[in-house]
Amino acid sequence: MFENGHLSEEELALYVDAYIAGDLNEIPADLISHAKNCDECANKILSIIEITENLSDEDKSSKDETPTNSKGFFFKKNYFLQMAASIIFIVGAGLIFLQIKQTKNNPIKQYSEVIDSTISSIDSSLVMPEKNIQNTAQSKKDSLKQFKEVKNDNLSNNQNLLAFAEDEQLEKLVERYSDSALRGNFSIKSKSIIEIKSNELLKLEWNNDDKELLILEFFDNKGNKLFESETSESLFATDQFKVKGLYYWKLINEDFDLVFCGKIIIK
Amino acid sequence: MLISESNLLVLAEKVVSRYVNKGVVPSREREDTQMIIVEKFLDKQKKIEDNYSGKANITTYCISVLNNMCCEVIRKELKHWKNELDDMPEGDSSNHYSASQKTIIQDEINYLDKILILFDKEKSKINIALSYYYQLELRNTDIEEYNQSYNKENISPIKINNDKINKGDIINNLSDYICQVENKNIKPDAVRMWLKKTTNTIVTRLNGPFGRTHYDQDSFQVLYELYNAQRS
Repeated sequence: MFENGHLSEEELALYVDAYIAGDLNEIPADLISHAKNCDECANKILSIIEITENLSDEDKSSKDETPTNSKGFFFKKNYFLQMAASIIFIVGAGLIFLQIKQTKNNPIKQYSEVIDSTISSIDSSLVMPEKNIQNTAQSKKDSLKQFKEVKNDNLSNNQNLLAFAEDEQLEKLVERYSDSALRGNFSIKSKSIIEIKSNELLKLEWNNDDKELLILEFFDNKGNKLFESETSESLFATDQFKVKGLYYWKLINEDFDLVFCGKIIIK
Repeated sequence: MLISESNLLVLAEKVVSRYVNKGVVPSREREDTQMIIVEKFLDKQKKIEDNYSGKANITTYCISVLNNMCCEVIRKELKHWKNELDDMPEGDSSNHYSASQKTIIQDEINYLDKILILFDKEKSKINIALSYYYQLELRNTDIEEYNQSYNKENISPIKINNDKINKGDIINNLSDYICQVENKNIKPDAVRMWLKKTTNTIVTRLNGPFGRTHYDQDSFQVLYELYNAQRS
């Protein structure tokens, strides 16, 4: 069907016939999809449409030589078979994809499972055999206090784990920009991964000689946007990051292109 | 023979005229270009007939063939034509434009409409996204079509009546709306990239392969505003 990856001359004509008849549903889905995505074929279709529309009705009726219908019937039957096969394939692929997605590990779920198992293991390890417990109120209180301290420590460790858990989508973006591949005239001075203490000022720097308006967006490690800011300068500083954890930031230019994505670790 | 010689000459004239009117082929080259593509057609007649399976209308098929041939000629000669045009004294009438500006603008609006139709079922979504992004009036027909294509009742994007609305919020709202209608989890970044890519595609097609026009993002916005206003 496709010639060198493009629609053939007859396929282009087919598309135009359906367009002029006002019924694009007549066209096979793969032709429509190709015309949507291919500039070269789309431009040809547009040219042929304009030329055909300019033909006067008189010109058109005297030039038309009705083709025989023998190939038409075969084509229609073949077309419906192809459509049916395509639909079955798409539905099957969709079902397989859903299965894969459901069985894929969810890192956040894993961490919550760790917490559950850790808490239960804390509980079981701290339960002393009855014979070792001294029957005094004070010793019971001490045991309880110790239990709570250990539990809090472990809970806090697990909360720390959650605070530094990576967001899959944002990690992909950080990786993409890790060698500072950027758009336009920008270059980043800050590192891809910045580590600072919670009482330190966060500084982000880049080259913005054209004083272009830039947007900075900051996200937590679950992908929730925390805040955004606009600047035409080459530097941005903030002391808003006081809580330990993993954060992400994006730099966006005035055309709304993503220029950079980086990570911030507050220790 | 697929078509008669006289019909072939008429179609060749129509094809070349289109590119003359768009200012791609200089008017003095009109007849030469017509003759070239007619000769090419006659040389390759057997192959053209063999490639025709009868699915499409014969006239449209022949136009498609002649259009391809004309584009080949243009690609070969364009640089040479452009150099000659640069050397010509100003005031040379080459009939690039129709009689009035209104006709030109209407032609551009019509052309934009054709480009959008080629996006098929995505057309209504694109219209909603562009109208919302440029803060223009949203068309009920687009909202209905978009909702219907996902079997939804009339969900409409939230219109923000705030002069200081920033583009970030526009994209966020658009993303929320698309997620509601399409029942997907689409991030604002993805919507932003899709909108940018779609706008670039539309602008590329408006400008055509031979530099028919020189739209950029700003002039496209102006054209789109005119197009949207006409759709009320």
